[in-house]
Amino acid sequence: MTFPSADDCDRLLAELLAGERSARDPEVEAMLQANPKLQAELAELLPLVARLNAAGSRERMLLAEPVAEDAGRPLAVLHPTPVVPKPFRRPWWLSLVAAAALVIVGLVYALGQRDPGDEGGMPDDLGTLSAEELMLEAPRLVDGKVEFRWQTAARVPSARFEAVIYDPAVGRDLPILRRPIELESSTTWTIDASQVQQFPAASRLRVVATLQGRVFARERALR
Amino acid sequence: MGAHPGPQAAHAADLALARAAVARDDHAVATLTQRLSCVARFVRAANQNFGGALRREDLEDVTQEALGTIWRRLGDFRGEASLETWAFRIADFSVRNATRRHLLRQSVSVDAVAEPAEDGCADKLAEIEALEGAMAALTPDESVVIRLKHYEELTFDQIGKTLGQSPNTIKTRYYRALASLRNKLCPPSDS
Repeated sequence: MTFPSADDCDRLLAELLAGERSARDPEVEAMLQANPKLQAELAELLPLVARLNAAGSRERMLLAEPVAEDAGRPLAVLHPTPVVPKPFRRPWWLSLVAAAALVIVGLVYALGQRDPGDEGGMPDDLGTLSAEELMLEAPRLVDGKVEFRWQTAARVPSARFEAVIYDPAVGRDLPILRRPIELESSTTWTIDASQVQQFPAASRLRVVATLQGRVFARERALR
Repeated sequence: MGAHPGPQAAHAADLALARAAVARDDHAVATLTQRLSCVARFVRAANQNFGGALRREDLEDVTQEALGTIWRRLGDFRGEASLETWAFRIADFSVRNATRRHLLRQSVSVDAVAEPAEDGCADKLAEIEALEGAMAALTPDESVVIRLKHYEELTFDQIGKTLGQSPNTIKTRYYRALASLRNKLCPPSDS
């Protein structure tokens, strides 16, 4: 038997580890017996292969998971402009532009901090917003109820609106109140004034609109 | 020795769809939006896999986060797996991040000293994170072979066809990728 080259050993190990060749094959058995290093390498890598098999199996199982009946409503689909990868070249003016962008972001943030109750609603996610496509009106008191109303620049028949009221001290992840899903196509939300009074003073209304697959979010101070 | 054909994206139609969506083709964007409705299901399934640590509201946020990442990174899609599989990996990653944050919050919360329902969740998360972390540290050439072998269950011949290389080259790459992965998971000691 000719002694296998390093590449032959690599390929044999690959075949054995991947289960494409059996260690009981007499030729393989002879090779392994003649090469304890190869045998040790095989034994050392087998647990890793088992881990990878388990990870692959988990992924396939979860991918094939049937749609649960209690899946609830479809979630809004967020798709900001996809990024096209390009070869990176650093032009001389890049640092200047980056510095200017930082200043602008800082200013926008500072303005937002200073005036959270802006009448038109404050954009909270610059990556998904374009100007004035979703406007929040000032809340109105009608017959002991507070009416929140918003509008879109264009009338979109399949528009959906998700609305929550949250306390900034707690965060948007844990809203105080979520508008019932049955109302998702409506552009108003009416809540008893007595209930609104119980919300923390800094509470904010956040509306996420899905318009023809595009998502816009705006928010404003509740009071 | 015969020349091997160039790489043929295993999911060429998906790749074309992704590229069209990147170019803002309306039909492609609409088709992709529909295809990506599976992400919410992936998020729920991945959460269940970690013992259901996240609540329904958290899952909605995680889904949005995953969808945002998917759309932003659409230009990186190379068609080596189906769009759904690629999207699943991003969704799974988002769930892992959210679960880790959740467990961290719990560990500092006085009210939640012990949550038996989530026993084992941290261990499972750590196990998957370790493996995925090591996979992410591989070169793209290494990780693609491992994924195609163990996650897509392709043979060396099939991987060779997908990547436009001979099966023997793929076998060598596979073994070296495994050895590299082992070293990342258990770095050899200096002694």
